[in-house]
Amino acid sequence: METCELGAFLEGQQTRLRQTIADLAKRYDYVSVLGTDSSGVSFRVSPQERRVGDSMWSERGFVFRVQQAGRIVEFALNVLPKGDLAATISAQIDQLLSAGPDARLYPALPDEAAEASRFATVAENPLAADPAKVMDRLALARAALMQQSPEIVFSSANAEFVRVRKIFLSPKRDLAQAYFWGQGYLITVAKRGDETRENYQPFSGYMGLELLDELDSKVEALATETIELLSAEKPLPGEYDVICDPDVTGLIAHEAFGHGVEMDMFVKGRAQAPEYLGKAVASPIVDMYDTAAGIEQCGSYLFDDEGTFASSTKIIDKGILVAGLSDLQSAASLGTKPTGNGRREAFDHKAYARMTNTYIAPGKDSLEDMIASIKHGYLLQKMSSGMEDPKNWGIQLVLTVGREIVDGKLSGRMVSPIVCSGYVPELLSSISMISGTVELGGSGACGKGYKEYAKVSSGGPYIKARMRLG
Amino acid sequence: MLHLIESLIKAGGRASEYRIAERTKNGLEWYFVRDRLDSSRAVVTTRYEVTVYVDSINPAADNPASARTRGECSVLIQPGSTEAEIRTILDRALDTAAGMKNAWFPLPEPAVSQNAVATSRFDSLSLPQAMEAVRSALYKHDGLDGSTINSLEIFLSQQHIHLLTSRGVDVSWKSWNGFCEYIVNAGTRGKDEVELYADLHFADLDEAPLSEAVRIRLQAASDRLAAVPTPELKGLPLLLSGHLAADLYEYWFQNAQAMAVYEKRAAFAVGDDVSAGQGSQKQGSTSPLGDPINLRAIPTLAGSPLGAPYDQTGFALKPVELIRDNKVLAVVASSKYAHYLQLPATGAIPLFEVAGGHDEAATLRAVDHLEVLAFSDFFVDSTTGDFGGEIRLAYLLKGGKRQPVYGGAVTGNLVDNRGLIRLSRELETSAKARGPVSCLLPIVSITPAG
Repeated sequence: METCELGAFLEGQQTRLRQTIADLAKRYDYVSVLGTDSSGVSFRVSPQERRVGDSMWSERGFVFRVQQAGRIVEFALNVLPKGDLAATISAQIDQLLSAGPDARLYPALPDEAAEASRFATVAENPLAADPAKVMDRLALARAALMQQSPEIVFSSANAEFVRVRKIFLSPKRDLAQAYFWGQGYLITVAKRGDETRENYQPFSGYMGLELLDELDSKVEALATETIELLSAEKPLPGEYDVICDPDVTGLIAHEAFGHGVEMDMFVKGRAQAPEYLGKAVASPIVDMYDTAAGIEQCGSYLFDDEGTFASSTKIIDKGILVAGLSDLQSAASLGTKPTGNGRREAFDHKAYARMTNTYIAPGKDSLEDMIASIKHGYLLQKMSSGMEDPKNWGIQLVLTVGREIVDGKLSGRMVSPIVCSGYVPELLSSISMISGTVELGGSGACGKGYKEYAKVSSGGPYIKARMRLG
Repeated sequence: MLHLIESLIKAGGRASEYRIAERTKNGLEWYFVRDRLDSSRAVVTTRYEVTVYVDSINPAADNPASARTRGECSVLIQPGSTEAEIRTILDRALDTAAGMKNAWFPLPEPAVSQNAVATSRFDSLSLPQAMEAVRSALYKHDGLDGSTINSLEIFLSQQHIHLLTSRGVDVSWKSWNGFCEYIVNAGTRGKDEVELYADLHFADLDEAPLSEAVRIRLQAASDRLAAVPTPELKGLPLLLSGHLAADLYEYWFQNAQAMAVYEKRAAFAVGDDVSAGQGSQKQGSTSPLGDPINLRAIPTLAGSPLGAPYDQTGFALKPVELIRDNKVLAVVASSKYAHYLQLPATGAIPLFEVAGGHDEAATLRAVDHLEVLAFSDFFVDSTTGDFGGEIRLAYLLKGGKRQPVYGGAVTGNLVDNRGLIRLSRELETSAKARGPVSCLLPIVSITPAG
């Protein structure tokens, strides 16, 4: 096992940054700085080509946040100038405070005393590994995929590993953390005449190179499923009994509902959720959580990008909406306790209220019983995309695989692609069975609308619900 | 620092080739809730993107042509890195590149692009002045018919890009990158309030289109308030306009990429007829019923922040005709994939242009149809041709009556619609393309709202 370290760069800046924060605190009501030095590597093996490069999640920089007379501004930069750093930062901050139209004034941002750090361990450090050997492992999986069927015309094996390193300093807080996350995909394209189908198998975790141990076991199932997709038909539009696999359950928890309880949406009046706090939004058998603490997946951390410790938030308790997720600004505005969900795409992006690891809690049903209970419906798998609609609580989920269930058994027929639509509370209220094991997946990225990507995971057990498919 | 990195690569003597990009950004961001500034940010960054190439000879190769290999590795070098840090990063990149034995390909030779980024009216303003001008334009119609801007984010930055390569490319250019995202509401909070999302990319201070885009969205929010659930509809064509139409046209552009051809993912290749096959056969006709597809790749577009005179390797870009009257003439090919496929290199051209069709948009609109103005998230899969999304607002034209509808979903496939898509004669420019303002797709499936 290897422990992630903070690294010489951030360690070397801490003393100067602490002094700068102390200097700035004499001028402003609130001041803090987030420093990042995250580096990562991405691998791709495709036909006749191998590519290695730095991850798009690599970043090194600082964002200073100031509150003065209620107004909040930030200055992000990745070169700390020599000389009087506080003077340089102040010059930019003062310009921001004086420019622009009338500003909204916030209650004082909290700055409770805390000193903490966490440095995670990994079994295999991907940044220290021989890239050629990593590529060989990926190449074997890709070659195995191509050998499964002559109808598979393309495949690629992709992996990405990032070592996140962050510090947060304010007059009363001194925090540091470092950890790895990893993700990967096997991708296939199959063709038969005019029919082309694409499929993928993701894998992810709060881990290093050991993530690749999962690769080989996924190859055959992915190839088989991709060939099956070539015979898939379009679903007949209508409302069906469905079983969502953990991946799709997570998509529902995250996209259909989770974005609607990000409390910056409450501040803007963009969510229906505030009107439902304390009221039923789901079936009584549904519990839902968002937690960056106590779980090790891609959305886990010690503290968020505003220096608030991670927590575990129970969002739905027995079908009742009980809490939302907040960043510092939304918590200050709404008078609630920050939940540690203030996250940035990178140091040079704004912090918003964001999810972390979001999931529906397990139930007591077996998958076999769930399938057996359906007269005609679908087992839904493989999310393609999803989009939130917190105001109108509309659902858009696009899925790749729908396996038909007839008279309590899988018929062997498949539909694809599937667009799920409907009204979120109706969908959640229709959940009638829940299986016993939670699975989380954290490949890809979550956007706030169409930007501000953050690493998250989502999942849950298998759930049975009623859904409109098209 | 750019030249320090270059000198260290040269001094190391291990790189067969290299390219370095320096990107600096000076930006301002304003975030509004209703019409009040919620917070503001300044961003000043510089980044260095370095790619090193290491050539080698494979002694086991069958012939000399395939014996030569080239490995590459791309890394980020953070500004402020020490010389020792840069050496370490470069050594790691060179070791990695040496381990990648891909088929050899050339880097482009220096050339002058004739497609410069257009000058911008932002050039004469300070960043705060420019932001205020944009803000003022966006809020011009706020309150129209009771619809209001719920929240708005404005991002504006000036960027400077400098490319250096071992082939002697040494070019730089400046550009403005403007983006705004806004949410509009209609109705009464806590009762019947609805919202719609929209965003805009811009590179020039042209107030009228900024104001008009928001006005159209505010009007649409009022229509959404009056909308009824999407009913059961069969056999109606789908009409798409604006950026949704551009998203659809991108299917042809994405498939006319040499990398997609090389990886055998592309739906067509040079010489193919993009109208032939499934769609027209399903209609029982061998002659296309839609307008012919004419597609050009273009480096820059007036007002778009997404164009560039050079690609990442320093290739001087110029417009290239890709599809003429449905026939694929060429594909967009970087030097690497052009060499692999033995096709002419065009460079990685970022934008595209689709020619107009035979009829005016008003003619396309005259037939009964469903026009979707806003999806939750419109998707077009460039590999499979699948497209669709959940309907947030659409207009149903049936029997001469136009009714706003919401809910339900549309799905379809561009292969099913081959040769059948009608394009408007009028063109419109978006951030990534110039193309027919509207298009009509006859074969779609519409799921009614629940």
